[in-house]
Amino acid sequence: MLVKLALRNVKRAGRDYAIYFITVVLGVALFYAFNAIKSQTVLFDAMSADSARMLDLLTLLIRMFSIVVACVLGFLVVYANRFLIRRRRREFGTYLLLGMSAGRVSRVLLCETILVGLASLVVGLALGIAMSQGLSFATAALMGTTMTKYRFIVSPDAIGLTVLCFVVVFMVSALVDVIYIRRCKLITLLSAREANEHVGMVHVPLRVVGFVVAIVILGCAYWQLSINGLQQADVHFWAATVLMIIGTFLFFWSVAGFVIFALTHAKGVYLKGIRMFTVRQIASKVNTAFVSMSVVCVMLFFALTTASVGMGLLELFAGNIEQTTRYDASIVASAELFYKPDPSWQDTYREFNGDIEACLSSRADNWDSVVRKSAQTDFWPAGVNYQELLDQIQGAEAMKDAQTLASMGKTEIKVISESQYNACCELIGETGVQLAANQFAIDNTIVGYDDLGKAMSKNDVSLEIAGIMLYGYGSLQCVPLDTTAMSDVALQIIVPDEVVTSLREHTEFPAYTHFNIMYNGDRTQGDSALSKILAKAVPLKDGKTPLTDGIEDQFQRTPWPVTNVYTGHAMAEQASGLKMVITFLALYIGFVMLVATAAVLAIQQLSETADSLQRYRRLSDLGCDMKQILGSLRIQTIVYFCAPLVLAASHTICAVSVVSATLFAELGVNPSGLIGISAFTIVAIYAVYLIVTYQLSKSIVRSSVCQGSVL
Amino acid sequence: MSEKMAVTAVAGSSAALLELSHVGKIYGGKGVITTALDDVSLTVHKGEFVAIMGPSGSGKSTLLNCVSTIDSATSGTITLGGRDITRLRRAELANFRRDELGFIFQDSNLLDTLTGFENIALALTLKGEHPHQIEQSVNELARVLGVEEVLQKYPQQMSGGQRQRVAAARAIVGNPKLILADEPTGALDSKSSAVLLEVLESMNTRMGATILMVTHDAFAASYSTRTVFVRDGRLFNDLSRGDTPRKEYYQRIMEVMAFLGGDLDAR
Repeated sequence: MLVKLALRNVKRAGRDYAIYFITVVLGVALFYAFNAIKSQTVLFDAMSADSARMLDLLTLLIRMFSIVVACVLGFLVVYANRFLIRRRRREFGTYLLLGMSAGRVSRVLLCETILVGLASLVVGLALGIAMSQGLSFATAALMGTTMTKYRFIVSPDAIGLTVLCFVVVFMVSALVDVIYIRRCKLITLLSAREANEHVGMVHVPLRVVGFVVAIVILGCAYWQLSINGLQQADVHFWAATVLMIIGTFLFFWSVAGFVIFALTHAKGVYLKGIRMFTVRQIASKVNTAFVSMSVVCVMLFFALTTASVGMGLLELFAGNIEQTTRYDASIVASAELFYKPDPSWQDTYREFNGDIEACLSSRADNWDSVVRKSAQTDFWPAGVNYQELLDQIQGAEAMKDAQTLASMGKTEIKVISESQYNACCELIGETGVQLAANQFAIDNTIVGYDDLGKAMSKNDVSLEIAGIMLYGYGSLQCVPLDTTAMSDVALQIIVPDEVVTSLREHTEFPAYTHFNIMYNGDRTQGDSALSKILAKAVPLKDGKTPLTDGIEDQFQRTPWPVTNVYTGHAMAEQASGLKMVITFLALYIGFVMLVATAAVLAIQQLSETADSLQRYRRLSDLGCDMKQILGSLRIQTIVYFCAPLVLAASHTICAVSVVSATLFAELGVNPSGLIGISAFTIVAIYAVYLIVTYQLSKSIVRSSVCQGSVL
Repeated sequence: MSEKMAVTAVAGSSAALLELSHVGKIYGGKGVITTALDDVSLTVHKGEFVAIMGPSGSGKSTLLNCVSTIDSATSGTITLGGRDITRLRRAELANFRRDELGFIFQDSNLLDTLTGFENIALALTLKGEHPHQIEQSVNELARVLGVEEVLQKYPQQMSGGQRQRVAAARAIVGNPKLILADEPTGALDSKSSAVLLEVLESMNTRMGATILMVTHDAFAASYSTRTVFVRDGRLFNDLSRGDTPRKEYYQRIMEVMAFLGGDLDAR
């Protein structure tokens, strides 16, 4: 009997529940699909160690963020349910009036929640399983592997996790509803108007002041954020966050009052058509729901920022990868990277006279078949700091901030010889430099230092190294000097060979050395061949076995000849792995937050329309035609949806421009294209909810007003 | 009927503003047919204050709804100011209500989100009047009808009587041809009732408004210049006040009502 009642209730409330139901289904589907990624990967063909590592990282991050996602969806479910139940107060009041015990009413409610919850879980999981099949193809593509043997896979782990999370969410929501119904007095349940619906506008002067204060607070928040620069979580960051949250809440509390105040004094604008009615409708809604609008705004801000920063990071890590991995492999040898190295490396150095190629090729038979060309660059400490150069530049403060300049000034200059530099350039087909005996040149690939580099390269800039006075080359070089994930050549000084010879009279060992290799065959073959060579040339100590298949675990790291190895292929794989991680996370979190907030707004708007039906009928009686009424409805829907979006967008623009200035622009990354795409997608999804809500509201109002008289 | 002939004869001078001609309204379909109005014919002249009285279920509200185009008659014609409103198309109805009619309902029907001022102004903004003009008209009218002090308040903050007077102001502010009132004193206490009725009376005598008021209260009807009695969807009596003082008029109305009420079996 109870179940029958519950079933009919849910069927009847079809339209109200539709948007809520669909959104929950989407949420469940996404939750399952992303958590099932790990199990999908068993289908992939051979994956490299790097890719496997990236995948593990992704799975871990998804697990962590699933908690956030579950909370967001939980908030949606609990809020939407509470909202819908509150609108059915009268119905529940009637049950109680007819003599149904509170316990039975609770059970009907519980039954309804279980029915809806079960339905959405089942449909959501079905959708999620379908989605995850598609997602595995996408994952494979992003990681650059293939999936030749496709099998339909379902992940019991992910199902279990999804079911667990959502059962908890629905239980909490049912509990909240039951408590509400039990707590309410019968008279409240039966009364026509919501007890706390603020229809009129109170405290107008207070709100006007509040609005101005809110704008000021938000301005302060933006200012604090620009000081902080989003580099670390210092006091400015927390100040900015707290101010932003307070400012947003205050903004929504006061904006309606402010607008009313402004408009009622602009009679020329206000007293036209049914503008008064439209404005008052919006104002009363914003006032009543200012808390949830603020929360929606903050969540939208997180969604937008996650997406934007994610896109930026994507560009940053993976956008440049072709430019930075032009050498097939780079070996780095550096004593500085060791804490207390065993000095035996110095004997090896002397034995081969510091020539890494000689060392490695003597220990491996197939050196020439693997390595087509190679070039070594030694970096020698010059005994002078960058401050020498900085002092000669006018207006250095305009090119870089004080902190960076200070730390740069204290850094010792390391120089490389002209011939080694030119040999390195030749490997990748770039032009080197032709230095006169008293010139120095600068190579720089970090876009943020370009201005400084150009200024330092001027002919009148002088630098004394090893007793020799050198002058600027005139132009700035831009050639990468090794294979890395990101551009890392920062104002590298190149000097004539004689200067280096002079320096070597006082210093036996270079600060560090790069050894760049170009393969004979393709990169994959070359990598595995190099791996074997290194395993033979610098074998692991004490007969240890390699930890993984990765090249960096095949040999014993020493200050010389080989400390680290970076191969172009591995870097590219890492980059695409990172791309995958970032894209998925941004999608996961951003999309779920977006959908949840849009659903909350849609539900609120629909309910409010249903509550206002009487007002629309009165307007019609007074002689307002349907076109005007629907026009008012349209404006109300648009403003209600756009208000939190606009404010969230404003916050996001501030945050993203700060990150852009401090991080992206520095490294010459311009993610605005990708950010534009994600912003457009977000707005598009939002617009879909807006349009659907408006269409539903329109049909509710139409059918009610055309029905006939209210008498 | 003789009234109809009288109308055509006096077409020029005291023009017939509203004319109902054999109006009928039937609800329902197969099996269950309810006749709300049965061959009603009525003429209202400009400047009249007509009260329509009858017991509950007599069809008086239906009559008002048909005149106000909120509902539509199933037979007969209704002419207002020369226009046959039963022939008006959907799209024209809203404009017609906006331009020609004013309403006062039992529960005032004020929009609860607007202040008193805005509620009255709404009748003018819908017509597209100049904002400056609107402000003047509303303030002026509020002063005359005595609702100045509630102009900035919301309906919830007003008393029942104040709400009805604001509704009355809204009804007349646009100078409509006809004001329709449906049980305006229904929810008011006796003092507020009296105040509202005096307002309606002054709207009729001093501002020349033509008012059609539905009521079941003889006291309210006594403020009118003419009372029409309805029972079971038919008009069956028509009382003109003439120059008689209100108390006497009230007595006559009570007599008819007694006759109406006691005559349960006589059909």
